[in-house]
Amino acid sequence: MWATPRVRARHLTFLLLPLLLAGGCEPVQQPEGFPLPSAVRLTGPFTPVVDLRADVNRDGVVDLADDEGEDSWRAERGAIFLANIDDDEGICPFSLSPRTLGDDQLSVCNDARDAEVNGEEDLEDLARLRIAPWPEAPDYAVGSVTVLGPAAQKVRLFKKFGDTYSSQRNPSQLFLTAAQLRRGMELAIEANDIVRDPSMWDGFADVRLTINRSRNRLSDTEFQDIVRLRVAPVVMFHHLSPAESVFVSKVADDLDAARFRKDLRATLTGAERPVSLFELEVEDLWTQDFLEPAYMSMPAPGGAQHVIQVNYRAPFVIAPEKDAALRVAGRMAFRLRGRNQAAVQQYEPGMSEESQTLNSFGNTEVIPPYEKDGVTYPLGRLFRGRGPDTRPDFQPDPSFTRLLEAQGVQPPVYVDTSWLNVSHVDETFSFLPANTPRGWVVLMADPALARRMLMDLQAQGHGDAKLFTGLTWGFERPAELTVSEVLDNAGVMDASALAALEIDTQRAILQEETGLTDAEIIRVPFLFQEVTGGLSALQPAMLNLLAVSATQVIAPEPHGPLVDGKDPFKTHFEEALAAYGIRVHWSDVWSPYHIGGGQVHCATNSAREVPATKWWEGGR
Amino acid sequence: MRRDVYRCLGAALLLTALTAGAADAPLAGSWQAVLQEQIARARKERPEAFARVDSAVSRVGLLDARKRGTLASVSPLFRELGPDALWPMVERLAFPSEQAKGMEQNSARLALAVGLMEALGELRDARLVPLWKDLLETGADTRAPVLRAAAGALARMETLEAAQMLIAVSRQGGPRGEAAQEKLGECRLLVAARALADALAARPGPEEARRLARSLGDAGSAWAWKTSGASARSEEGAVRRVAAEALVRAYSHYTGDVRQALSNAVLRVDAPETASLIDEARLHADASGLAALDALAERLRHNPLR
Repeated sequence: MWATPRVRARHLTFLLLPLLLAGGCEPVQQPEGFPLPSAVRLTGPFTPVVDLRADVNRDGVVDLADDEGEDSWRAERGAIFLANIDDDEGICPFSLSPRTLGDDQLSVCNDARDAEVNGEEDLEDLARLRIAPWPEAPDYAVGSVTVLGPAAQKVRLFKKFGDTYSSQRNPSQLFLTAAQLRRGMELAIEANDIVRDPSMWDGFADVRLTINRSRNRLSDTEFQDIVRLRVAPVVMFHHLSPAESVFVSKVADDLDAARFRKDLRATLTGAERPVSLFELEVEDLWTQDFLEPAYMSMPAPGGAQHVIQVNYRAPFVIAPEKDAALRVAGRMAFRLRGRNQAAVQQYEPGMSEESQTLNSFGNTEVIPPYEKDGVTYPLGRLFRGRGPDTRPDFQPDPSFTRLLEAQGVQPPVYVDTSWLNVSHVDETFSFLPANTPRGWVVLMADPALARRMLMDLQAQGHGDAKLFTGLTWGFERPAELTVSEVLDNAGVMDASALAALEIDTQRAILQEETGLTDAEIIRVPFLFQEVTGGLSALQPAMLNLLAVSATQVIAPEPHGPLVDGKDPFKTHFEEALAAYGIRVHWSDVWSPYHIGGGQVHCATNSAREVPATKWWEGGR
Repeated sequence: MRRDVYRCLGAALLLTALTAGAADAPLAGSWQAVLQEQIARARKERPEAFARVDSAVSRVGLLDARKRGTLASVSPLFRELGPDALWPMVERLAFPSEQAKGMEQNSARLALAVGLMEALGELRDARLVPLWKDLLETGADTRAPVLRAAAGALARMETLEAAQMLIAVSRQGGPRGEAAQEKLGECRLLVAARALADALAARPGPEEARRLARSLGDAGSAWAWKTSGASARSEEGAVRRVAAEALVRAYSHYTGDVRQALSNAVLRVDAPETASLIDEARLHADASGLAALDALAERLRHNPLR
């Protein structure tokens, strides 16, 4: 596809690019004007060096090795840039009140909204491009750098003058004078957004350098070089990465919640590798649900990744008002915005009120990395709940689903969670690191096992042993039940049977997708009950835990029956995890969390260590 | 002349006021009047029960604010108050004008109504049947959780009368019919199972078929029948057989999530005849139907409920 002159130009580049890299980027302050065309320049010889380069080999540096395959993007090669949507100087306004700052106003502010480079830290978020020098460029030569296609609306190009970068009026186009062409240029590029809808923009940006005889012929593409870049996708964390920061809501006036936070802080501080705890001052208990930490990255020198953390705001619509449509606590995603910290908000109004619970992030987990049938998922796959096809009114927000799927590197697996009151996948499954060939195991709710354990206790003469001793359902009457009472409760038994079969259906999908063997599934016993709108754990769901590291979890105290001073449910769980070298720290979350429909996982959230596995090497 | 006009207007206003008052007050002998009598008596005999319900109600707003799902589950709060709370809860539910004050959020009001209905339904008090019938058949609130709770309360009566009410409503379609169909299985009576089986035999659309599968699973639930709670013990075998027959026969007529729901219901019922019913269905199945039935038989052999 390349014209002969361009091929010649490429050969020259190998000689000329070192000039640029050796310091050819001195200040070029020539006015941006173009000489008038003349008959000579239209007819004389014109063999420009047309060489635009990006970090195609992903070593964090733009150099000679970056030419091959620059106009395509694949697992092995292809340049990458970031959506520069963090707030490096911390200037974006924030309010927890939508009356002070509407949802849309809250979300629009970030470093990509202006035409400036906002300081040294902001500069680190820009990917570099270089134009090789053409020392013989005649005075009438002009160049332009243009972003093609839909990407033109999504990126901004910067041109380096001295130590500063600036962009032009049209953010997706730069013009180059003959003097600039002679010296070569350093450029930078940022995206102003992540990919949200591939039908609008697929995340690729083809950047074209053209050199021509005059400005009037800038659209002439005889002498051109195109580099393809891809904007980094947002990647969600899986549990094989240790937690670095844990978030929990600091709800006011709740002694039980305060006690939980105190225990959480002590446990995280005392962990082998201490973890920071951030208390978010919101009146929403469910930190797992209203936001979700993730990250995006591009290559940095030395094989490193330059990372911007991204906090998704849950697309959980609570009101029709445009400025206050979303669950208030989700605004915390923007409170966390700052240096290398971005926030993303995406939702579609008009979906059913009942379906909003599917948009909580307890309903979007990550299956850790695996390979099946020769297909690898090096960053794992999203694991999401949805309603059955026969319930089109009970599905996750389609615009957010589109956004998640468009990231491409963690293709989702969906299971039906509509039968659950809260409808989240974290109620029935969790994933933990393990010293096994796969590297992880799955925790799966098993009400049938819970029933068998209780029946065994009954058969051993412990039918009067009590569950939930000393607890209430939020009032003075005790919640305690004997083993025999539980087994004779038709509602609990039927709900548990239904749950067992629905979970079995979820398990079949998970095994089909991942190739998990039965031996890699740890069955976690607890029963279900029918509550308003669906099923919910009767006993605190031990698998709804915080995976701190490869050796420690914080799990909810199950409040099971005591037999000889021991709770067989705790013992079962501790032994199952100990087989993989994992210690359990028990935390009492009965009130307010279990009563409200969640446990430790639901009450917390975690930003994790960015995996060493680079998303761009995954072939997606 | 002007005085006459005023006089006429005054009379009209008085008439309007009286009429409104008459509409609010239950007719003597009506079910509302009966309930109000019971409430008044209970208030005299056990005033502390009303205070305790008031106290529980005062916590609903907090539970609503802290819910994880769409609707706060507040019934445990009331269930734990026991039978003494019956009439105070009925008052809150059936005559809520004053009590509803102070609850700002619609979602909290809905959670309260549904929670009260669920807790009351578990008390299985026959005196409340007219209330459930009214809420399900003609109640002004047609939101799904309200209708489901009313239908569920009726179903928990596990009486022929309640089952027949639900069957009649289920045939009307619409939100009321869907709620009745959804909860009919919880009656665990043969008449209910047969009505559900007949509806499924008509091969309705996917949404209804899925609902019927779930309801038949409720009716025939093997684990539920193993508890001492089911009242129509003598009907267990017939209910589970009818449910299993209907589910297996429908199985190869549906695909996707409906087939999965049918499969789950077959396993939940786990009737002794299921394996032979699958064999029988094989005789009439085409190639794809045969494969599906094989898969069902295989899943039945490894039924996680056994």
